[in-house]
Amino acid sequence: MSADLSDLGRFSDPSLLILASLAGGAKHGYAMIEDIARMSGARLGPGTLYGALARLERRGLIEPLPAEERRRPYRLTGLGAAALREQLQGLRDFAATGLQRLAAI
Amino acid sequence: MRNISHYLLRLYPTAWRDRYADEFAALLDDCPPSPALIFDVLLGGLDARLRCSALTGKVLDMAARLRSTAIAVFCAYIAFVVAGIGYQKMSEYEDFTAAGEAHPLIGLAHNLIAVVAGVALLAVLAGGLPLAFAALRDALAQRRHDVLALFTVPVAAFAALVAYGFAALQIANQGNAQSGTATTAGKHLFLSLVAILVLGAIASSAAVSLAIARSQIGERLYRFALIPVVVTALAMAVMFAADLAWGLGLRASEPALFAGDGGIAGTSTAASWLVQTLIMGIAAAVALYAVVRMLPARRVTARLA
Repeated sequence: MSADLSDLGRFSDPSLLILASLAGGAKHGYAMIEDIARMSGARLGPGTLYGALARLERRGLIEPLPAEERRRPYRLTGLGAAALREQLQGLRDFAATGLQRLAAI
Repeated sequence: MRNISHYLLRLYPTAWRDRYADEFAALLDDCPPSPALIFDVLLGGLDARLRCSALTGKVLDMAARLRSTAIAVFCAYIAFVVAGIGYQKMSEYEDFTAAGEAHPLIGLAHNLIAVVAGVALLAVLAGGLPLAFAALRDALAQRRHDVLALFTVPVAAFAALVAYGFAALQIANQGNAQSGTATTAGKHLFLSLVAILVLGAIASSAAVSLAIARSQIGERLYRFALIPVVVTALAMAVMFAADLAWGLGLRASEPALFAGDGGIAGTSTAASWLVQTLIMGIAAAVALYAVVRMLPARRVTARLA
């Protein structure tokens, strides 16, 4: 199973947002959409959300929990947490480099 | 949203619905409806159909793979034919036939398109008619009124096209007789006829594809359709290349004609050719992609057999 998100094409950004949302605890689809909107300002559509969820589940980065009525929560797996950490560290390094260069202008 | 979530779910393949339908329907019920949301679900459905086995882990059986390939190639072929009708209408004017006679490349490309179009039509009929008859027979046997209703769509679309075409011709002839020249109203009537042709083609191909997808058709018939499907996809690629050569040849040999207003309904020749070529290229690419996607699975199946 791959922990790399870069080969998910147009689903790589939504996947990162979902992993970051689930890092705060298990959530079902609508709760994820609301949490991601609060966290990043981006509002994922249901088609995009489930396209990304299906890919993340296949890769073992998230796992489904028993459904509560019709809503099924998902939670981060250990592999998912490692993938998220790696992605966020990469973004932090990228941001630090960019800010350093900006400071030199 | 509750009302349409059922229909939106039908956009997704069965294997995907088996896994996600309940929770996805619950999410759709929670979301306020909007055009953007529906568009997002449409894209999601398309993605799920293209990547079903990768998303669900379920390998589609051979008949399902052949069916999705046949349907994709058929829909691409219909789009190609609509663009091809535009090319045919444009290239039949005297100036273009004269250019074909004067310049071998243009003439050769035009003749190649005509011959290969015949081959593609025969291939579609050879592969598609048995599938359509089998779907019709299954619908009659199972009393599937929904499938039978789908088969009336191409008939209704054709009837609407003929009736509107006839009425438009009468009105345009009256206008021309009064003014002595082709009128703007006549041009608008022609463009609306083109719009009806395009809408009818989309509705008909979608209806026939749905009817076939919903019918119980044996794998043997899909296997029989495989060679015509491959021939159709290759024919579309050849016609696209010939159309490209025709336009580029015309641009190089007859620049004044290419820059003129000999396109559809007196529009720019270059713009008409570009639009037709773009549609042909996309349709040929979709058909080839559908065939190529199916081939590795076929090799695996053959090895296992």
